[in-house]
Amino acid sequence: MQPHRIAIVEDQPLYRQMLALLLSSTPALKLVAVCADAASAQRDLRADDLDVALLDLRLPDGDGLSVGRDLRRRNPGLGIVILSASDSMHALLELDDHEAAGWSYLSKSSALSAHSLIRAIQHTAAGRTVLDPTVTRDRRPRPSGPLAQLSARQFEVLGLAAEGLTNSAIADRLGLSPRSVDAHVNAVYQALGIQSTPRNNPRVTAVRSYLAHTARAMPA
Amino acid sequence: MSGPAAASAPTDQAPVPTVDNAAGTGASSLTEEKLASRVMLISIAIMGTLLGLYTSLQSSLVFGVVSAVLRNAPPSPFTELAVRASINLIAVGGLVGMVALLHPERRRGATVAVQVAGIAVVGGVFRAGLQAIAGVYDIGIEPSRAALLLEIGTTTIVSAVTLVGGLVQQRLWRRTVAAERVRFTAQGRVNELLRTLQDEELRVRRDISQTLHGSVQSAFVVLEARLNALTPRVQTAEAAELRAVTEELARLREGEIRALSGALYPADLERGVRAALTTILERVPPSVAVRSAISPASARLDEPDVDIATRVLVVRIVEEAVSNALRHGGATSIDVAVDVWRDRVVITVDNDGSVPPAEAAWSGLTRLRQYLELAHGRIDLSPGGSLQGARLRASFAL
Repeated sequence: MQPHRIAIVEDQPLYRQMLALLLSSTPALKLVAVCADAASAQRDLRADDLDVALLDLRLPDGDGLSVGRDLRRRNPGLGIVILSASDSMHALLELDDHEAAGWSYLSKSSALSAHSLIRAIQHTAAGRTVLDPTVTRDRRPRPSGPLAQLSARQFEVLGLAAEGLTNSAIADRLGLSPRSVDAHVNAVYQALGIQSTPRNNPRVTAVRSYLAHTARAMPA
Repeated sequence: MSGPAAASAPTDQAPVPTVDNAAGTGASSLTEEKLASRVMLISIAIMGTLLGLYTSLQSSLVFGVVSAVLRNAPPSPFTELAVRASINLIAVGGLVGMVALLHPERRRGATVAVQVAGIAVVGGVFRAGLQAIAGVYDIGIEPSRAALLLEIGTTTIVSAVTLVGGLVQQRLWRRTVAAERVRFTAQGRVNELLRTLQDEELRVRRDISQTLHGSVQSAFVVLEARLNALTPRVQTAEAAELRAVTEELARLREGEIRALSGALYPADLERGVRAALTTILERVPPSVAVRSAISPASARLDEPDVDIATRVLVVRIVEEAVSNALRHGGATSIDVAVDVWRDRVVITVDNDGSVPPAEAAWSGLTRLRQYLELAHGRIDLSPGGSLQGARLRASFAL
């Protein structure tokens, strides 16, 4: 299996250095480019030579979303992982439904954990959306939103799907059969009125709904 | 610091809107010239009319002069008055017409005197001619040449005085306009200076906020990672201490630094007003129902001609309203609506909480009200609204 080709766009030198060190020492990954700002990313990165781009949400001359959009225009199959030192996960809601697949969010703390980083990169490269588990863990549905009508189990399943887990991984995690998880996922789609269309991935739409209609129970 | 508490003290950062008074001095010199002419014509018309009516009254009613204006009608002082007044008004009209045609107010030096004298003489002759045609002098005694010349002379002098009066009025108006312009220019400079200072303050706030949000938080993340890597290598007792320090660093990073950064400059505003408002609402506890209606027209706020201070103001108003609803009103449901209509920002925040007592010290709200008054806007907190609790409504021009 070919290692995933990665680029880093991060302005903070020390963090950039540590991230580069971590990626370089991981056999499943191949670091091909490192940039310190949006301008150099847009100028120097060759989107076709990448599988996943790790982009800091806040850059001195722009933001990771804009850089990611630009890269995705050049390579629609490219995975984007947005990194942020604070809880700015809802920034992903600024993306349109049809472009949201393959965009993930990882807190900078999690990104320095080899396990979390590799997992996020692999899932994102596969076109899934991964939200950082450390950030999604404390989220609760708002009473005004559509997620309030989900059962506790359905909400739990949706939360794990938001972390990027496949149905079988969710089944393993919860000790359920894969068919039960399938049923819960379909029930979530039905409750949220999500239909599969050629332009929209229902799982991504459900994750976006999770992002839009939940909040952290104990914000920092 | 809790989420809503983190949104506190926003009004300390609200910008001071400046009022562009200089816009009122933008009249072109051509328009000003026309206005000056109009001032002069109106002055002459008013003075001439008053003098004409006065002399008519004097001749007809005080001195009882009766001419043979209406030869077949019985003599009447009121008929006499009507005829004389009409002649005088026509003469004044002629005078105004000549001034409007020749514009003596646009001349300089002796030319002004020559034109004024000329117009006055023609006016005198014109009035005397009208009176002769109307038969004002035909009172049984043929008017002598001397009497006619006297009539022309007095009318000329009165006309000249009236014209000079008009010229003086026009000069005074010009002087007043010039003084106003100086005042407006000075006010404009002050406003410009204030705006520059405000922009500079916002720039510094944004830079510091971004540094805190980016570099400082990232540095903390790196420190936490190093401590986490170090922890397994040390003795048990020290490891517990290291873990505590790491947790404290994480708490500082996620709580204090983020709150400080947000107090300096609204988080995510660089990605637009909608993003910044989403960030505020995201921090509202999940037990509270939140609905937001940020209209597509609100994208106007992110256009280049809208200054950053205005965007900051929009975010601070919503932040203050949400913060008050949670901290003082005990709201369980909040509706936020932001719209731009005819270049006017309208913000409505409804909640189902209790209405604040009138004597409450709403310092944040009071400061925002003061800022908005400077921007010809307003902010009101009142009972009611869509959620039957309290409604905060703010509006101001872009």
